[in-house]
Amino acid sequence: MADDRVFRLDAQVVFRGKPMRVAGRMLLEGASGQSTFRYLLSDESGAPVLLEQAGEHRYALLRAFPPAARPATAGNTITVGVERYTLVGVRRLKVLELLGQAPGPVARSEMLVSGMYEGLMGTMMREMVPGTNRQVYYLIRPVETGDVLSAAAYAAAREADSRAAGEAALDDD
Amino acid sequence: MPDRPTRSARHARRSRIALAALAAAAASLALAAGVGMAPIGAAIDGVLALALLGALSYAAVESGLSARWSDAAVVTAQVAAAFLLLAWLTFRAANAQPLIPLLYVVAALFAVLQLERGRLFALAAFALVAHGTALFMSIDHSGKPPLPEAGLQLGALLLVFLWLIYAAGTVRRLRARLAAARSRLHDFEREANERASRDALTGAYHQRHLAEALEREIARAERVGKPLSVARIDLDRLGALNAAHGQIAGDVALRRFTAAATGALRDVDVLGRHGGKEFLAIMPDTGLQGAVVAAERVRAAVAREPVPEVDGRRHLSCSLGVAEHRKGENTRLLIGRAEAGLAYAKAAGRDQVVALDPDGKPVLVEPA
Repeated sequence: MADDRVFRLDAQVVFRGKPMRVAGRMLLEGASGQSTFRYLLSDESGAPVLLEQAGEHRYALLRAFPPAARPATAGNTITVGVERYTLVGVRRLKVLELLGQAPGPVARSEMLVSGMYEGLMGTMMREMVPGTNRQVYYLIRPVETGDVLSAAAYAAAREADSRAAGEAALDDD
Repeated sequence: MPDRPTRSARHARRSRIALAALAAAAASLALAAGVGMAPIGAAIDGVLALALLGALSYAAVESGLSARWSDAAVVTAQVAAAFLLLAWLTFRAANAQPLIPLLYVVAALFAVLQLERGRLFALAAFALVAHGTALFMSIDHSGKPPLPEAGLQLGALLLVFLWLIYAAGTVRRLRARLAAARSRLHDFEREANERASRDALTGAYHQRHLAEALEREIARAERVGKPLSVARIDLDRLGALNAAHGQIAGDVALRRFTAAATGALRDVDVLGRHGGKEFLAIMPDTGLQGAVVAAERVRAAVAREPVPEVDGRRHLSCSLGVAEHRKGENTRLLIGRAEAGLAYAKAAGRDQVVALDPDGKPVLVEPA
């Protein structure tokens, strides 16, 4: 992923129309060498938002469970309430870079084992640091294209929208 | 709109005006005595009478005695006393008689903007009787002024008083209109502020208002030691509804959700839109147990709202994460914990309430 497609620490971004700041950034490397960025976005008063950048403009929203949550696990399944999630894949990730606030309970150079689970309610992720009892559960939500933009790209998109609306209004005349 | 002066500031300003008027009247009397228009004894008596009048009025207002009277500023009594003093001067200072009607007008000007028409008529009648009596006593005593001149003075005074009363009525009507316009403007301002703090689509409070309200409530909860809880609420399957039936159907669902949730919450609770389909309810003076009951009430009310069929469901639903404020916790941490509860509720099947117990463990709430 080229650097100009990655948000810097403290960069201003707009997530679903809400102006936010990149308060933390983590670079992860997979077993086959592919890199993944995670961003911790924060604004003045709301809760932080955790995003994973899977491709150039592809993001997933990671909604963390309460740290004390311990869903029942049995074999390859996790049960949350009455919903069952089945393991569909495991990633081994190495933390290559950690800037600002850590997006999750990890430190630099640590390894993460990330299990992806599928269920009727969507995708869940269980992430553990091997050799420790640290683990976090996330509910994963896809983020639509255009929901995460740099502040400059957002302003440009708004400008284009308002121009298009103006032209449409003129056409109506 | 400029701020209205406080009661004490208005009071101080009026006292200063009254004091200046008394000082001007006393200086006029001294000047009249100096140029021989009035006997020195009459000027001294006049100054003393003015000082006494000022002191009595000030005492009546300052002691709060006049607050019970219909004329709390004691304007009627002060102007009537001023007329009496002028009538007395008419009798004592015959040389100054041609100037005294002007002083009646000056004294009357203090009353025209403050008293209603009935009192003004009564004061005018009182002034004419007092001045007329003084003139006729003066004719008997010193032969001044000649009778036709006395009649002219009284006639002119009557005309001036009538004109002043008419002008006062016009000014009063204008002031009433101005007060009504000011009141309307105040209402518009309040309405504009209310609209500015609400989301145009749903009518729920928008995020900035929500953040301010939460900060205020956290500060209050810490100050008075009362509990405070919040619920993060998220509409379920809104994306699917938008995809299947268009964004208008989604907008209708958002409005129905807001109406149902507002109805299920108390008046003191604050419901605001936190993002696209995300809402936050702030529940002051409410512990976790009460908040769970309220959240379940919201969930049940929303679940009764019909929507076009999506994924085999014909009713709206929402998931809620509830957390109680912990001492020293800021808005981000509190909302973050409620949000974690919401994530758990979503994963557990949606249309659920999840509360975070004191140890931070998520607890699924059984539907009522």
